[in-house]
Amino acid sequence: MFAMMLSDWERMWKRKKTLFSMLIFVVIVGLDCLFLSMQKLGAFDNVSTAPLVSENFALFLLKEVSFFLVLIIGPMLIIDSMNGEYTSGQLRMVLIRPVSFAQLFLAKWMNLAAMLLLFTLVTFAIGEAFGYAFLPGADTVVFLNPEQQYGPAGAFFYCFQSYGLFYLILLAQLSLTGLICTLLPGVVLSYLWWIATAVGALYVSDSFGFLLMGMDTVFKWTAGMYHHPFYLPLLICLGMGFAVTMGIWQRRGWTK
Amino acid sequence: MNEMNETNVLEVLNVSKKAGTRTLVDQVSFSIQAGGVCGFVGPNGAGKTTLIRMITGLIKPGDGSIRIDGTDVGRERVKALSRVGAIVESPIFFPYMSGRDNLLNLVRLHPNVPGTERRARVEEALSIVGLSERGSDKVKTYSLGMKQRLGIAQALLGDPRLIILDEPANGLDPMGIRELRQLIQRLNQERGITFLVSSHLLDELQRICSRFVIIKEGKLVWEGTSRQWQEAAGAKGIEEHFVEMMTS
Amino acid sequence: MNSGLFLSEWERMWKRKITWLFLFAMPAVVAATAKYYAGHNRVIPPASAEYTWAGNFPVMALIEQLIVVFNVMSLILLTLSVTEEYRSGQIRMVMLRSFTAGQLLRAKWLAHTAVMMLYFTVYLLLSAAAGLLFFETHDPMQLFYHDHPVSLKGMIGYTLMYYGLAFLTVLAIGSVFMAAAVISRTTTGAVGLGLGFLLCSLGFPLVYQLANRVGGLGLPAVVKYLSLTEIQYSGIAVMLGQAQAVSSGAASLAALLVGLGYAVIFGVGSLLVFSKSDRWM
Repeated sequence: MFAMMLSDWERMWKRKKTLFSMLIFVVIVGLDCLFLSMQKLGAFDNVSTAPLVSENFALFLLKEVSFFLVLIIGPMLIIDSMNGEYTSGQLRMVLIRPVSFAQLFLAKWMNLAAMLLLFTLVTFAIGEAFGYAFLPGADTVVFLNPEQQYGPAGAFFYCFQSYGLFYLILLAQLSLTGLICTLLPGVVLSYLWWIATAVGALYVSDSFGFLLMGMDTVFKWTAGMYHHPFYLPLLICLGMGFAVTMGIWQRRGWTK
Repeated sequence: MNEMNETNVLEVLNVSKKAGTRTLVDQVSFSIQAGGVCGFVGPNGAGKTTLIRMITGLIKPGDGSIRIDGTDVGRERVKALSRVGAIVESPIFFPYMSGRDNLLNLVRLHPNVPGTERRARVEEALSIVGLSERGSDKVKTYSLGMKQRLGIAQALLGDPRLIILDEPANGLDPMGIRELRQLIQRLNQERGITFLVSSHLLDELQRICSRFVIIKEGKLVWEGTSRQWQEAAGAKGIEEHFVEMMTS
Repeated sequence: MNSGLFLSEWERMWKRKITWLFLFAMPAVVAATAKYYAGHNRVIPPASAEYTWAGNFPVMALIEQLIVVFNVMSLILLTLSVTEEYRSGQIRMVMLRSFTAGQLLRAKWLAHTAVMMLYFTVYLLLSAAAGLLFFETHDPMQLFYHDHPVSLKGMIGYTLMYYGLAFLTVLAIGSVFMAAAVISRTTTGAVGLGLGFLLCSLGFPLVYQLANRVGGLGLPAVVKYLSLTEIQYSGIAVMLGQAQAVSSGAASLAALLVGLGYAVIFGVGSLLVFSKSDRWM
């Protein structure tokens, strides 16, 4: 199992796109830091704002870069790994070996989860470092809910928790995109379907709005102002997507 | 110098496969004994690749079963394939990696190759197919013939007892075909590897194969030794005989 | 221009399932948009320009879907037509037939343009029908950036102009997508680059306005129309506006120059890269 993960991990990094995405992403995060620090105010939505300080900077940074993760870097990495390798015929070299297909899927899922974690952590690290280096500190911070005040340590954990929740949303995206990749015959169609799923979810039900508006949801949920079920739809996407896809990988025929 | 033992490396038992209403493979049974080179012949669309996909567990038989070294591929695929190497259709590698990196990446997937031996195994495979010098170049710069040779190299990684080659001569020039033939003979004789080789090149197959399995429209039409086939063909020659078989 | 080449590209466009998928998805998109605006109507006063009537629904429906749906359709069509075709080697079949690379790319561009024009037309017809079906008629009605309400008759010209200009903005963005498709080696790369451009275009006006405000630079607001999506978002309505407070002329000029600028730079760039490179073979 570990060998399978290692082999997939190696291929992921040998694709130039991965390193390129990482570099571009760091540049974008850096630019967003500059942009935010000029702004002096962090916006939760169109109405609520809070003064930007060291303690809450990382949270607003994540909101700025979240769309790049959800719409570009995430799907690109996931689709290349889960669909591109197979539909281009390259994965056959792996499939003809004594490997279990379900384990192969698990290896890919865990590698992608690790990769998404890496991107999330990079954002967190840069956000915290930039915040403490270049922004004024504050004794108490409020987030979306003005009645809850946090000290520096509390604010740090608030940000950390928000990043964790956002990461959970990314994992739900990973499972859903994995399923889409398995059902559809090509990368472009998979990409399109993911965007349609994320955007369409907004029209279908507010409970699935987190797929596209992840940070919006996280802001509200951490402030206790989210009025829809959060964990249930999220875990349904994450768990069902994962289980169904794994089942399909185990049973399907590989004809490419 | 492997002694011919009587165990069957590969047993295909009453295997059928349908796609929708179309029957791709119909009640095919044959077996291959250890140590031989078996030619797998049939016109385009006869179901050769479908059968090879089933033998390597990429698709499941609709009916019947396939055993490799006595292990059922459908039930215990990982164990059954532990000592099988294969090329299924044309070998497609990860084009953004060098030939050597491709093999290093793939050799990890063989549990029977210890971590310390992987590098040596890859170098050995590269030298067997004569790619040691070009091993560091990206695969996308390789010619078709080099890709076929790298395809054989990757089939060797898991110390196989059985190697399945699907149209390995596709795209090879006459020199390449001769090299391939010599390679198969050498691996067969020196290492005792059993081969199942599908090809259209009857004369080439005739020179290396000890047995033949012939299918047409998904059905087994003939199975026997090379000598028997030659006798059946008689003065017409095997090519003429084959064409008659397929058109009758 | 070789019409045979164009026809072969046009035909191949329709050989792809996605092209049909977009077409068949349009009723669903129009229906979802109508549902959204019907809900929106409940929370805003009928006198507002945002209030949706049968007469302004086609324009409202385009405003809601132009940036995501139409841009993404253009991106996907171009990616499939250029990147996917050469990645799978299909393009060789055409390149062998004694056309220059430039001719081929222009034919692909024209076929894309024709398909997008068809999509716009179908969307207009569907939303006109949906407007009559789901919304009340009201005459005259209030529009964005208009000092005076506009009559139903005036709406026809306004709607056609709006769709025409929106179509042109999609072509301008399409030239960027074309460049992305030409330089990318994989389809995911092309789609990723294209979407990245869209996100950056969406972000630029925010950054610009903020920098202007915080830095006290005092630069003209019209510079935000360097972003093509901003032209789509507010520019078209401003261009067609009839109000004292907005300078439609300046906005039109800016939008025209920006659109042309993108089209020339990325269009010519794609042509050059495509003709010079031999990795297509």
